[in-house]
Amino acid sequence: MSARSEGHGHLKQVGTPARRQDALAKVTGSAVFSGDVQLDKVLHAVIVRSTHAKGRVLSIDTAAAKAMDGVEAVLTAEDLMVAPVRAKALRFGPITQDQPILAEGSVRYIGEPVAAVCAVDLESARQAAKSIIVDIDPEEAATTLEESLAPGAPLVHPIGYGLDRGTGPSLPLVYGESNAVLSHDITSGDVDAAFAAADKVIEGTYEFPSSYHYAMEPHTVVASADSERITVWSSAQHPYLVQRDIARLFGHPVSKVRVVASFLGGGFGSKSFTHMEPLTIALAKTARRPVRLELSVGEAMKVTRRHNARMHARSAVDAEGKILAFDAELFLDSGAYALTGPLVAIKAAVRALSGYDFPNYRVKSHFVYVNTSPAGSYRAIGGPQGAWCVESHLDEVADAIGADPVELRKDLVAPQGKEFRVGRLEMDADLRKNLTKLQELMRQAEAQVTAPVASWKVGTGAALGVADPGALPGSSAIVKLSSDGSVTVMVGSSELGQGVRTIVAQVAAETLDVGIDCVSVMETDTGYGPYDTSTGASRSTTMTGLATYRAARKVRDRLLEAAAKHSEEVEDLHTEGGSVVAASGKSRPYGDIVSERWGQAGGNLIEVGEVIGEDFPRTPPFWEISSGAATIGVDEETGEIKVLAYSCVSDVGRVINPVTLEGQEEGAIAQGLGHTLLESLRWEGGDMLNSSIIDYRVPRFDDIPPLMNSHFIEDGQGPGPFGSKGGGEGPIMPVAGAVAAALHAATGLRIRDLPLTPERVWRALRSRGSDAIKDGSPSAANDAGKD
Amino acid sequence: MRPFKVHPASSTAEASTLLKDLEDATLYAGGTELLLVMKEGFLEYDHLIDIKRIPSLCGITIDRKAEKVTIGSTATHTLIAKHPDIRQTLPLFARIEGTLGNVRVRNSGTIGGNICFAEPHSDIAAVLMLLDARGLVVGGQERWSDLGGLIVGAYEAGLQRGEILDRVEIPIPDPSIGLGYERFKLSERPMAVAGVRLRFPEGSVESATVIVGSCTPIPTIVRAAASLLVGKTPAEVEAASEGVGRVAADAADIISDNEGSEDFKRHIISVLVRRACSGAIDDWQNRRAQNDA
Repeated sequence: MSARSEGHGHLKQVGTPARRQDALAKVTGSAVFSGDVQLDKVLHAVIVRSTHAKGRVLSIDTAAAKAMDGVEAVLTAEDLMVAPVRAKALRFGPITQDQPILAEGSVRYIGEPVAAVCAVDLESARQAAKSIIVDIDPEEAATTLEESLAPGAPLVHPIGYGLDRGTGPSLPLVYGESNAVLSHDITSGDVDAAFAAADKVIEGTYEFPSSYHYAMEPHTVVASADSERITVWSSAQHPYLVQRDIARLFGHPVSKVRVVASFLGGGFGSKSFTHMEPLTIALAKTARRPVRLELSVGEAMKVTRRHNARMHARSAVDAEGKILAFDAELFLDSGAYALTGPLVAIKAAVRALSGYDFPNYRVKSHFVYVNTSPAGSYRAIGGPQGAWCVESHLDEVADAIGADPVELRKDLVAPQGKEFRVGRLEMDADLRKNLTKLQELMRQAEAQVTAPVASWKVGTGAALGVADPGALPGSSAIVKLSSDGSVTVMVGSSELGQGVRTIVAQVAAETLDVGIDCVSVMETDTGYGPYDTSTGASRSTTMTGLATYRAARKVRDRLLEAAAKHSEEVEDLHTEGGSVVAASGKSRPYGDIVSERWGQAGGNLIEVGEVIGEDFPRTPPFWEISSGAATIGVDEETGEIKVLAYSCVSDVGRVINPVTLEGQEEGAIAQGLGHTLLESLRWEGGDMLNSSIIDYRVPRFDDIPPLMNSHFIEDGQGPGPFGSKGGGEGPIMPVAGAVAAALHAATGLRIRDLPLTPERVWRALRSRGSDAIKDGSPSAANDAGKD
Repeated sequence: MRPFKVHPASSTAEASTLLKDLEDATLYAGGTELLLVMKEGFLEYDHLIDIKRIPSLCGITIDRKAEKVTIGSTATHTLIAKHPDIRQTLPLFARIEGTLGNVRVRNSGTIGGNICFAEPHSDIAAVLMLLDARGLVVGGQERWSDLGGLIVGAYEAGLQRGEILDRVEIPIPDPSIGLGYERFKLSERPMAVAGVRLRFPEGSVESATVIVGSCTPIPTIVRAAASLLVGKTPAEVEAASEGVGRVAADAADIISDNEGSEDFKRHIISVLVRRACSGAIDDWQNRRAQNDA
């Protein structure tokens, strides 16, 4: 269920639940994903991976594989720089180019690609891969955050990678001293003095688990390459950044590299930046035939994951219960390669500060290399971690000073219009209004739910999430009006399932004043389409949407110009429902005007819209804001938690499509329930123990709260088209804090580790002591005897 | 996955002969367990003998006179869960079959495949044990076997080479019986299950069975726990149930794994057994009330 605050006035397409552009294709199964691309003579690739968390590669024996029937190429790192691959560089990465296409000399995690094979069929490729003997001399590895941060820990990367810059921001990474290669500090005021003056200090250490995105489609690449051109069909969230990486790695001009991202079966950050494309291209170059690489779910889990984190927070409080200062230190386990890790660490710090206007604050965050599979972007990067820390902590502060936890937050949030972080965008939303609405929804939900079993405890808790989206400007769009009046839109944002094609179709339809059914949005293709930086950070509606709006405005202006040229009536021409209408009321369909201009039955009007850096002098372009409240039931005997109701209030500027937005919001909540209650990658000596669908449990429909309420606050002031701003990531941030607060309300327990599995809850209940459990509870009596 | 050949069999006799004659052969019905482990490379077979099309294996019949239900071994979980006679006479079994795994597994997985694959976490065998079911084994010396004989270890069926589980026979519980069954499920398969079967011919327990499963290598009857229930009235059963749970939890062969630690599972078993005792009394009272009406 969703609800919205304000009306939409004159808007016809924006704010309506327009049918998704991809609905029919997906329902009928005709949507083409990378894995559906059929090329003649395509070969199938299989990767040989390291079985050691750290070591020197002594030798790789590929002789048997090369001799096998059907095998067309076998690659190791030493084949990459020579003919026929002739790579110009061996490493890539969005922040620092630390990740090799294939392990060169050293391996740094279990699962790291060491060699690759392609053959005429998958089974032959698998058999050949099995025959490759990799001799690795194992070295002492740092396979956990603790091991990696211990004094004298073996360094995952003893040296850095020069000044090679990736496709992301330039960050000051320091190699050779410790595995914490980036330490970021956000400080305001005099924190130490505030703590010295404090009446009370409240502190705790919070753990956030490592988890996997679980997009339904694992990473899939089909590549075709010759000495001149490279074409790649890839499940890539940022196809233009992949194009740039490929051009650099293989020494081709960007214009000779084409990346097609037709449909993606989900992303959530797992398909951000370059992953398997370079290796697939190298195989295609070697075999001189197209190559398909489709990872299994277990392999995809080792491509990228979300950072686990250990976070310490403390607050200084005066005698009146006022918070004088907030101080936190966050350590993020980024695995063996950086990916976006350094940026995740920085974002986690910003997001741990959330929207709070602490009088003094200091947050230090550390990006830490560990000999495990690499961690990178994941929906609202660093946000769920940072929010788990600050929200749990504020609940404890509220408890300690005897305040209502939501009221405490309402007193602490930055007022609208205040530049609450130096040099950054002022708070662009009314956070108090947001939290007041959340309180109303909380009360409604509490009144509606009942415990599934009478003996279960019920409690409600709330939390806030405020993020500075990396929704940076850098988008373009092409809008084309054809001579039949239909409209084609081309954008560089990938359709991951989030509905971007529907959003830009609605923006174009609204701007051009045409029906939604005559707008088509093309698949993302760097060979033909316009540039876009990335598909992530809640940026597509704002940035790609704004570029679409600008392109459509230009088309409309030219259409009116053309209409004026071929008409006696030139005054007061305006557009209405696909026609240009004159003051006299005489109307001509758009298509007729296009044809008149061309002097033939065909023709079109094409325009490009751009959103570039100077359009947004300050970051973030908007604050992404979402609060959430959970009402849960707890079985104190088994530790089982059921979320009975969840409400969320998001500040979205303007709703473009209420149905797709609600889907994004509820999807984020469901995904948040994963790390809150169920999901945790488990490791032993750097080996991922639960890398399968059966052993790694994600939320399913029966885990979704029976009562879900998404409320959208629309002030129409966002920087996106029609006053919109980004959404879809925000609601994941408060979930864990809200559920943990509800657990505290229900049972009095404070659990600082996630996920809140029955076993973890049971252990906490048991250590709370049998007297705290309801009188005569058999489990209490039972447990007391066992410890 | 290594290439393999599929041999469609039209009778159990033919399937049995193929099993004996072919090297590296196994039976293939729903494939929900088999294909998964073959894809992962844990098991490799050269020959799969497809028994899905053997007509005698897929039927479900009810004999109200003899008070028993017979289910062919290739009947799918969905077929069983939706069968009106099973829903009426064995509602507990229909419920467990209808909530097994996920919808795709239920639509193609079979009862015989589930039993013979002997996946420790799966709980179909535990429920069948609670229901006092038995299976007919053909292909060798034709014989009936209880569930304890059909499942002899984790992933290990009690079948000789060439033997095939033909059907399962489940007696319909009479009004003197009460059944309680509890399942604790976090992921695809249950973490722990417990069942209690009480027979109250005269208002006190004449015989009792306590079963634990999913947390043990095979579903296990805990006699020490059941013996505490014999001779007790419903009220006394309720009072004793906590102790029964503890005895069952202590006796079970429980190991730590991905699903949970050993001590947590023992605690859960004690709770489930206690709840199953209450469930068995409720079930007996309902059954008796229905019979009286």
